[in-house]
Amino acid sequence: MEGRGNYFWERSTRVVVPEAKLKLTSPNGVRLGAGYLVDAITSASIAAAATSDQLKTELRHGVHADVGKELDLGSSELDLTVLGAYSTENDYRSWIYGLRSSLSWGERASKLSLTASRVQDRVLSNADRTFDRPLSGVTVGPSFEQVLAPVLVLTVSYQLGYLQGYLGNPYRRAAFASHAPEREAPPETRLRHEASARLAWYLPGSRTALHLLYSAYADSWNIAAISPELRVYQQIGPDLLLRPRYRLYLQSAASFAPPASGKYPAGYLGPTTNDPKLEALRTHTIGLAIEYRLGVFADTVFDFAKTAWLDVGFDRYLSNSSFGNGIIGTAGAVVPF
Amino acid sequence: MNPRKAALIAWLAAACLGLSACQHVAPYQREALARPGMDVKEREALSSQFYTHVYEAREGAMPSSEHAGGGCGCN
Repeated sequence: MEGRGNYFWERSTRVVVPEAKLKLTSPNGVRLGAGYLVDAITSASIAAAATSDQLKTELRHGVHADVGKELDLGSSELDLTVLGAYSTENDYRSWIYGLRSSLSWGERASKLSLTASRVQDRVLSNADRTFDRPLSGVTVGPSFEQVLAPVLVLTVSYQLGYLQGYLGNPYRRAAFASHAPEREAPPETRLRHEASARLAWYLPGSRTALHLLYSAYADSWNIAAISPELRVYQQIGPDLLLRPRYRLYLQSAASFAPPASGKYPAGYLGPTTNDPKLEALRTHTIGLAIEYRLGVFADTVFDFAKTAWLDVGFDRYLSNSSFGNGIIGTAGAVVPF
Repeated sequence: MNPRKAALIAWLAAACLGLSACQHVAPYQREALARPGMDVKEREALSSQFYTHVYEAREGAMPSSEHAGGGCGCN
């Protein structure tokens, strides 16, 4: 059983996300998982005829469930999981369903996974009740994990994604040099490729684990991005774990991003956007997390909690986009029974 | 260096490293892999989803369809 509270703060937006997740395993090996979250998003909006910003809070509710089982195939193991999720807010609905599978062999030293999922969304607008557009897509991706040495594990993954429908934000207006702003209208399809790798290396002498992550991304909107990340897990004593991290994200602009003036020229008829995240940008995430296992409860009346973990994390998110910098905070507890 | 070239080189390097893994590591040799700093996937699954959601809302890479849309100005 896991409970978490997540927080994201930036100049114009505050997001608070409490969530809970429950996992059960039956005696015959069937796994059941279920979770619920609330996304409370408070953002500043300039109301018509108002002289100052007003704060507006929206709630998103999300539920998800999965069922899985591992099948013993003799010299290998096949794990199958089906999953589904539903998310709703007053101007957005989202259905997701999919399948995760993995085949392990070599006494679990090698694992090949394949994930496929489909999303079906409805994009609505509180400002225009006639706006109701579908958005659908699929994602498929293989992943391969290999134990390279007694202290070294490598995972490489690839993911192909395709989305079709309204891919903009109905509240955002693209600016034009020749006429009044119009609702942004990006291309109605998007194809993405993402390759990622993770190398985890344990240093027994200092009880340190180094995780090097790397992701490369390219899509049909001409956005290319790379994202290297280093996480260091330092164990202190039997129950305390510190995890400093650094992540860099570099991205090129979408082919239809507005020119430097912010306005599309007269006579422009192509796709449009006013989304700051579709411009060339760079972000840094610098953070520290602390995890503590309740080993002190061993052999007490609370012995059941001796393998429970508490964690708290704080990250500074630095971005050169017009969204500006932010703070990410998380706190959680994982309690096995 | 061009981000596309850098991405391709890093991907190929990782793939070569993976493919060169011919040494079999028996289960009794994998004690280190069960340490809290190595065995993090399950423990970090839920918090990772939140970080991914933040990144998808503030960075231009298209979200995978494994994550529910909306929220944080994503749509």
